[in-house]
Amino acid sequence: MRAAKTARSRSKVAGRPPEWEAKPDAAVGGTGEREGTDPASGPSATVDFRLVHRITYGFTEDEAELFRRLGHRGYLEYHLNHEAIRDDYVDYRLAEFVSLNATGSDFNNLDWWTCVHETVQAHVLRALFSKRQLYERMVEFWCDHFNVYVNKIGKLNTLYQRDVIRRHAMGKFPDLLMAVAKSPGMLEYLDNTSNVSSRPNENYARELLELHTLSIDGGYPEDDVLDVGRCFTGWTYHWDEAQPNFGQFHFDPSSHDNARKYFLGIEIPSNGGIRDGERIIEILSAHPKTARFLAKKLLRHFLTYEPSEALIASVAKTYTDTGGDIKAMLRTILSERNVARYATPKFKRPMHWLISSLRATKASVPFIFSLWWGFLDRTGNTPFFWPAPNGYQDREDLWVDNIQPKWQFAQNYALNWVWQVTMDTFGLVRTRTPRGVVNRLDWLMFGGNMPAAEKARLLAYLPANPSADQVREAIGLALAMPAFNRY
Amino acid sequence: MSQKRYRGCNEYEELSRRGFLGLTAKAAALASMAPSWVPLTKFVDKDGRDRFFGQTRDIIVSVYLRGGCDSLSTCVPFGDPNYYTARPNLAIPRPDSSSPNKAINLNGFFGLPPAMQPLKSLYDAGDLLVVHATGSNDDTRSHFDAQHFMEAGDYDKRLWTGWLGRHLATIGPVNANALLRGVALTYGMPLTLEGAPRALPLSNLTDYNFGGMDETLAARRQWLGETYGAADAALKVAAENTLRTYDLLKDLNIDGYVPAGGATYGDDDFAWSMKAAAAFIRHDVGVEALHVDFGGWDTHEYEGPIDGQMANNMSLLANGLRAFYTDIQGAGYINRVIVVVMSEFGRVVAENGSYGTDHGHGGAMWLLGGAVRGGRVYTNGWPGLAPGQLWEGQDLAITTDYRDVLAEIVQKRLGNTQLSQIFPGYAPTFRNLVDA
Repeated sequence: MRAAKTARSRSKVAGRPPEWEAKPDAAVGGTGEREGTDPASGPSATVDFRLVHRITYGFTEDEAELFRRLGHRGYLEYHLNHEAIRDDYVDYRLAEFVSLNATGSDFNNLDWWTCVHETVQAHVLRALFSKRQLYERMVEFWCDHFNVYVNKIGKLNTLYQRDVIRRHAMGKFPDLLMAVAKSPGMLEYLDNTSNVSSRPNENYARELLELHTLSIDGGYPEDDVLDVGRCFTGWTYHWDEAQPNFGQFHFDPSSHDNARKYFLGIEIPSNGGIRDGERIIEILSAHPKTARFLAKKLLRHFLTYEPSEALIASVAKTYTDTGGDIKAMLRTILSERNVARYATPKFKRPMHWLISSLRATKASVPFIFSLWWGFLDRTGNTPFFWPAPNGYQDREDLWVDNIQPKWQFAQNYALNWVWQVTMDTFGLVRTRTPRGVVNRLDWLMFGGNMPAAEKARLLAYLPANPSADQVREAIGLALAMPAFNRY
Repeated sequence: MSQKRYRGCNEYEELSRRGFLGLTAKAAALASMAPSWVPLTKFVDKDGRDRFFGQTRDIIVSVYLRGGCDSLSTCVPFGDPNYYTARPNLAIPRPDSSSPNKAINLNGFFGLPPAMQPLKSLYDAGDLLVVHATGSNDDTRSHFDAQHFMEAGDYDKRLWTGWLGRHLATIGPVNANALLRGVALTYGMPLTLEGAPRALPLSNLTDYNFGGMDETLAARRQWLGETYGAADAALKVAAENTLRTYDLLKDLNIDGYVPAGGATYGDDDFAWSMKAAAAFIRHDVGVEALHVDFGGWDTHEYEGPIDGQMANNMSLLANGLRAFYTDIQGAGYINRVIVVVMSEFGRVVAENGSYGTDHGHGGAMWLLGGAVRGGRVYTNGWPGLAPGQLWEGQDLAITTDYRDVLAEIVQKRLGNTQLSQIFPGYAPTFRNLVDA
C-alpha cells in the first residue's frame, strides 16, 4: 500500500495539483476501495456530504477529508475564511498569464485577445483547482448577478474581475455594489459612458434597480428609473490605454444633470454632483427589497430552487443586521440545519458539470482550450460570454436539454482523447474488478451516494474481467449518468 | 458626449475568426428577458401540414455577414461619381472602363465587383434582388449593439429574442412532428433565432455524436437510452430528443451529400454551411428556418475589394450562394426557399488612411429565391454619395428600413401575419420585393 502511494506520487503529471493527492495518513475514501482488494461491500457508512457538494464546484476526496475532519461548522468556517487557505497550485498556474495584474497603460502593450482569454482561463482554472472553492462559487454568483459581456467590454474585464468582483466577492454587498457602479466594465457594458445630461441613457439605471438590487418586483415607478439614470449622468472612466489612468473611474461634472431628482419618494437635492449616484447606491443597499432579493437568490444558488418565505426572511434579516455582510449571509444559509433540511438536488449548469467531472476524476489539465472550445462554447456557458445583463440563469429547465456535449465529452475524456485533458485512469480507480471500479466511482463522484439503480446499471455495463478500455468507458458513462447532472 | 469610445475593432476580428459571435445564449434563458407577449404556441395539426399555408410556406435561410459589410463594394454604385471621389484607391472601376477589374454592369447604375461575378446569372434569371441603402436606423457604430438591434428586430437592448425566433414562436410548425424547426449552423444560438421553439445550434453536423469508440457505440447508446429512460421526466425527454437528433443528422449524412443540379460547393466555412442548409432543406425533415454566419467583413485596413480580403470574402459569398442556388433549383425547391443576406451596417463612404473603411450606416441586403422579384437593385430612391447627401456627413443614408424587407418576407413567404410581435412597435411598408 505504501509502495503504491509512492508510485502514485511519482506519477504526478504537469497540470495536476499536488492537492489532488490524498494524504497518506488520512482515512480518505475509506469506504471500501482499499487497493488490491475487491471492495465488494461498498461504502460502509454513508456520510451526508451535501455541504461539500453545495459550496464547491464538485466533490473531491480532499474536500471530503476536510469535511470529515472539521465537521459541518468547521468546514464552513474554513471556506469562509478563504484568504487563509493556501492556493499555491493555482498561483503557479496563473503565473504564466501576463495580463491579470495589469494596470493603467500596461494595457497599451497587451492585445485584446490576450486579456480576454487569460481572464477566461484564470476563471476556469480557479474553479477547477482552487482550494478556495466557496469563494470561487461566490465569484460565480456575482459574475451572474453583475453580468458583463467580455465581447463588449474587452480588456476592462481584467480590471472588473480582479478589482471589483474578486475583491468584494466575500465582503459587504454595499461595497460591491458601489464598486460595480464605478467600474469601467459595468459603465461600458450598460452604456453609462454615454449617459449625459443632454442625452440621458437609462440602461444602467434600469438594470441597477431590476437586476442588481430591488428586483423586478421592486415596486418603483418608471419615473424613478429615469431619475436614477439622471443621477448617474457623468459617471464614466478614463478610456485612453496609453495613459496611466486608463480604466479608472471618472466623474465628469460637465455632463452631470444637477437638477433635483426623486427616487422612491426621497428627494435628491440639486447640485449634488457625484453624490447623486452615490446616494442612490446607499439607498438601494439599505433597502429591504434588496436584502430580500439577494437573500432569495443566494438561497437558490447554494441551497434550493424554492426557498421558503421563512428562509428568505431569515437571510434577509442577516443582511439587514450586518449591513450586507456576505459571509454572514452564507453562515445563515448554510447552517447545518438548513443543509440537512433544505438542500435538495440542483441542476449543474454545463460549466459546473464539466468542472465537477474533472474534479471528481482528478484531471490533469495543462491547457484549458479544449474545455473552452470543445465544451463550454458548445453548451453556451463560457465565462463572461453571456450577452444579456441577467447573467447565466440558475434554472434547470433552461439547461437540461443540451445533453449531447456531456455524453460526448465524458466518453472522450475518459478515453484520454481530449487534447491536454487527461485522467490517470488506474491511478484513479485502483482496481479493475467491476464492483471495485463502480464503488470507487461512487465514492469519487458522489461521496458514496450514487443512486442504487444507476449504480447497478453501471455495474451491468462491465463484464466480469473488463479490459482497460472497458473500465475507461464505464468511467465515461458514470460521468454521463443521469444523477451526475445534479448536485 | 462624443467621447472617443474605447471599443476598438481588431478585437472583433479576433472573435469572428474564432467563430465566437453569437455564441452562448440558451434560447429560453434569453427569452426570459423578452416581453411577456411572446406566446407559447401549441398547435395541433392533423395532416402534419399547416392548414393555411401548406407547402407554400418558404423555408428561410438567413445569412448574417458579421463585421459590417461594405455594400459599396458588393453592389457598386458606379453611376454615382462621388463614389470615385470618395474612394480613390478602393473604388471598383466603371464597367465601361478598360480596367480588367471593372464592375459587371447590372442596370446601368449599379454593378457587381468582379469577385461576385458568379451571381450575375442569378440576377439575370430574376431570382436575385439587391436592396441598397437599407439597414437599421439606430445611430450606433458598435458591432455589438448594431447586431443586437438588427437581429432582435427592434431597437431594444432588453429584447433577447430574435425576429426569426419570434416568427417560429408565433406560428405553428409546418410539420407537426418536426424534431427541429430552426437550425443555426453556428457555435451558439445567434440572437436572430433566439426564442424559437425546437431550434438548435449545430456548429458541425458530423460532431453531434456520443464520443468514444465506434465498436461500442451501440452498447453505450443503449445504456444511456435505458438509464436516462429510467430518470426523471426532464432528463428522460432530453435524452430522447438527443438520440432522435443524432439519428436525424446521421440520416442526413452530410459527408455523403450529393448536391443537385451539378452544384459544387467550396471547402470554406460559408460554403459548408450553405451545403448543410441545402441538405436540411432537401431532406424534408420539417426545418423551416436556417441561420448561417459569415464573419470577417470588418475591413478597417487594406480592404482590397479587387484582390484583397474583401475580394476574397465576396468571392466566397458569391460562390456559396450560387452553389446553394444551383443545388436547390436542381432539386426543385427554389420556389419554396428564400435566402436573405444582411449585415449590421455598411461602411463609411470615404476610404480611410489605411486603405480601408470604417464603420458606417446604410448597407445592402440580398434576397435570393424563386419568389424574389429579382433582377434589379431596389433603392427606394438612391440617397446619393455627395458630401451633403451623407448621413452624419459620412455615410450612405438609409431609405429602406431593414424591417420593411424582413416583414414582407415573413408575411408573404413565411405566412406569418403577426408582424407586431415579430417587429414590435413598427409598421412596416411592403416594397413589393417578393411574390405574395
